[in-house]
Amino acid sequence: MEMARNSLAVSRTAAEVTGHNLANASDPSYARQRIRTAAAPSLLTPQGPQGTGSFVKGFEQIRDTTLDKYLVSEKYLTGYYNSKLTTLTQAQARLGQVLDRQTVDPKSGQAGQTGLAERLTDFFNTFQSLAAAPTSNTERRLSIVSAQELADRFQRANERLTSLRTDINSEVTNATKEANRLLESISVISQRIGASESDETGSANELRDQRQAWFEELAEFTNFNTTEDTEGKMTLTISGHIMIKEDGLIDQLTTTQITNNPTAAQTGMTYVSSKSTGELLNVSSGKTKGLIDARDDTIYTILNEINKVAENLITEVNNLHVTGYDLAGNNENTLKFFTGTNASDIGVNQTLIANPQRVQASAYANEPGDNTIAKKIANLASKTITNLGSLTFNERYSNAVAQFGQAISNIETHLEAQESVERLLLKQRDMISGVSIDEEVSNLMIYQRAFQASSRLITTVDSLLADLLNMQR
Amino acid sequence: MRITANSFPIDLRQQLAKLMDKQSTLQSRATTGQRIENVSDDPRAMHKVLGLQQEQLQLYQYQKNVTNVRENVDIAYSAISSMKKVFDRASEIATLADSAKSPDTIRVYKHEVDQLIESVVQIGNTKHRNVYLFGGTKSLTKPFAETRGSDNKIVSVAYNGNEKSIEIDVAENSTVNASFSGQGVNGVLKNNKGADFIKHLIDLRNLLASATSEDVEKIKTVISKDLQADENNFIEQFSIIGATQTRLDTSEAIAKDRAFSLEPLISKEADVDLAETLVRLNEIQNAYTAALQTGGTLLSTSLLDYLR
Repeated sequence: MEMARNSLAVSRTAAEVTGHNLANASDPSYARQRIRTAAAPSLLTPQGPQGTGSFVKGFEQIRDTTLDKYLVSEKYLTGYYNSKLTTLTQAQARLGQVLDRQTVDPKSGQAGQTGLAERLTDFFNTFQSLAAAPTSNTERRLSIVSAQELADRFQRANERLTSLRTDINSEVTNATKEANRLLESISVISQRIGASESDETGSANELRDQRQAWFEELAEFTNFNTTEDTEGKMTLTISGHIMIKEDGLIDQLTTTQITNNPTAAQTGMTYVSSKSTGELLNVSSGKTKGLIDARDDTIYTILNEINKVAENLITEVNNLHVTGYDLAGNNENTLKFFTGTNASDIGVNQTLIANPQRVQASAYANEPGDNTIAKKIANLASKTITNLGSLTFNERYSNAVAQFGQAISNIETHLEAQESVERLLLKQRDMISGVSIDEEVSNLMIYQRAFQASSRLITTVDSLLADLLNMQR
Repeated sequence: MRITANSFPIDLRQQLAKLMDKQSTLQSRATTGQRIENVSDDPRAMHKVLGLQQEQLQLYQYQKNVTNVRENVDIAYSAISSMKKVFDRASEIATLADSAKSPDTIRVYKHEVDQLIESVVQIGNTKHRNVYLFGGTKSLTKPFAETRGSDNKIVSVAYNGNEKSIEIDVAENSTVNASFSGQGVNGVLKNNKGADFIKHLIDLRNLLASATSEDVEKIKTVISKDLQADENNFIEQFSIIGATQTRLDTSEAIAKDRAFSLEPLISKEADVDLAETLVRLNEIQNAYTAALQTGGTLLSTSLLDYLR
């Protein structure tokens, strides 16, 4: 009877574990569990040792820890590429260099003329028109308007990309806050794992499941290393800096600016650092690194290129303009066409906006019909500029844009490959640790039958006992 | 391979997401007719398109320049034609004024020549779009300033313009002269080969006014020779204008052809092959429907359906 009772208990517990598995079937972080049973100690009888049934030895979690570690390290890369791609796609939208062959630009009468490249060409073309009619007030006005549009486009591109870089600073800060929340949770759950497993009750399966899920979540933000000592206490480091020591949270992340000789790309930007020591942490992967790389590398480069083009345009146009004569035949050798120094502050001289007749298009006093300066400005369109690597303004800009696009395109390819790798690993893990409803239900049938058989044993023994007792009447 | 409860939904979700993404891309291509919209779609192609578009816009600008220059040239042609008509009449008068006619008869021609002088000065000061056509690059200054005698007749005319002409781009590194000078190497009324039409008209008028036999003889000898130089100049002006017009036509045709030939190059890089896109869209839509159908069927059955 005792053997049957134990057997019933084993079957019931096995059915409960199956129920637990079924209840968590939809949780991707859950690793299926199995009951571990063992044959009960046998009794020594004159005929030899006799079996006494079975008992529940424990519960085991079907999990491949190596695969879990692989997944964590792949999550860094996915987080890195994902954040970089999202950020660069935003930058691309803010750059505004879009090809639209269906919309016709009312000014040029051509389709697809929406970006900075087209405004640059339009600017030079309006000077061509001015060169064809140097005394025309209308052409002068149109040149000014085109220059204003160009300046506005430069400023907008600069402002949008600069503000994106500032926004990324906030995102890096938010990412560190999220990482801190996870570090805290990981520390707490590690302590609970320690407490649960210390009294030799077996592995704290659900807690370990949760911790693995948090590891994977943390991996999306930053790369890290974990080690477990012989007592199962976990130490977590980020870029060699200890954050969790023997399950205890000893440090957190914060953001700081580089004060020691920052490069131009680093000036005013925030980086991940240790909260306790202020030491910069050289994170090498994850969302934070993706954000930092997109901000300091690709976005900074295109911003810098736009500034360079604007800066040289200002210089070249102004150098010509100051030598010219206006419609009244006067030269003002300080009257610049563009104000400002680069894309951030480029503008058209207010004097010229107020009075387009002051545009110094002629190279000679009292020759308002001369177009030398206007033509020279127009011809800057095809002039190679030494400071721009002996490229024209348009070539330099379109090279920069193409490089920027190539960077996005490369990340898209990397991310696609990365997602495939991650998907494959997740699939592998699911193959090992995932819950199969069919499998669980068929197991349930086995346990049900076992339970039924054990019950039958009890009723049989009971009936035998009853028969035995009835013999006395 | 062990397939779990999550295997199908996860795979199906990923496959559907992938197919949706492809459908969205193809749909966007089919509706916009463009293969590339953003730089990242195909950086190399976008770079090429930007270069080609800039070239195309420049060519359109050259066409506009040609139109501008042609306007000036046409107006100049019309003005010089009018001058030539004046010249023809003056030449006729110079021929008519011979010694067979009485001095009084000859003097009558003087009044007509006075009017011819007025006409030439007026034509010389032709303005187009508020710009003097024959003032060189001093195009806002009235080029021919006349001095009148006591009888209010023009006695002399001074040229206030210059000899320069503006050059306008009609192709890369190729320019045409777009303005005209009243006086100078290629002056419309006065050049360095003896042409000085207004002065010759004034001389003719003065000789007709005196109408002495010596003066009438001078008309035959000196003035006729002078007028010959003027005629040569007008013919030269016509040939310059004709050559410029031909050049403009050629430049415009080249610019148009080149701009036109760039269009297929841009289209090749930027536009979508609609037939291919629609076929691919159809394929993806089929795959999407198949994924939904098979996914729905597989997910709806399990061992539970067969247990009681």
